[in-house]
Amino acid sequence: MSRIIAETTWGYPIVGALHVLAMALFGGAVLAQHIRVVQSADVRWIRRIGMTLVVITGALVFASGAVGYYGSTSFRIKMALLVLLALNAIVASRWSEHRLNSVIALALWVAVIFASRGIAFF
Amino acid sequence: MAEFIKQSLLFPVIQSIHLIGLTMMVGTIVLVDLRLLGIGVCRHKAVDLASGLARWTRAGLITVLVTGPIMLYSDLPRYLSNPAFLLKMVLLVVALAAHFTLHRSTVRTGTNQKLAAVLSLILWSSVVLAGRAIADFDVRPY
Repeated sequence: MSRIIAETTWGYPIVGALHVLAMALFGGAVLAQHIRVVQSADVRWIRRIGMTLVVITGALVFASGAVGYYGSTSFRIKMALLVLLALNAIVASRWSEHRLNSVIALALWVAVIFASRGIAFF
Repeated sequence: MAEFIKQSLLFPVIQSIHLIGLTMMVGTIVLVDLRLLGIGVCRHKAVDLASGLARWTRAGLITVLVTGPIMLYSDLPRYLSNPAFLLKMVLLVVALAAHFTLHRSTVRTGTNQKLAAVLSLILWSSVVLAGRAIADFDVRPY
């Protein structure tokens, strides 16, 4: 599979584009729930499918060897941010979900996007 | 100025902001499209969902329409000779036209729901695909 991505003209751009589309799908659902237009339960499956696609396409890109992530500081920062997001979600669900949780979540997701872009650089 | 943007860290920063903008715009539009197809947020009607999200769709649109031209300006020869970029611009115009005409009237009146939703999903996905393809279809070294 990673050879298909690395060696054809179309493999890498298509997987990369699916990664961005999945991110838009997931991000749209997360945004909508944090601005309280929808509830978390309404978009549960959109969120799950979006995140699954993001992780799968992301893993395919990395497996194709296009970007070295094992040594990347930015990648580690990204992982740390995802841990913080999980902690924020736990805090929100066990105690009451405060508006601050939503602000923090959205800020962390923005940081994740920057950290992801940074993997190619450091 | 153009050279500075192109060569420095400013370009990936602006590119990341472009990605955030497109996530806001396409993400909210996709939620409404899925609702038109009967998937996802069933609690609200499509028109209510769309108007609740409208501020963010608009913010996303403004973001991409500001960051996009900045990136274009940083390397005009590269983009103007890049077939993926040119295709993306055509698709973008079509997607925006469809959004502000057919999509808007569908959301408001409830007619042609499946057609408008599928068209919107296909058009915006194509814009994103073309955008991603830019990096792989450069005609000349830059």
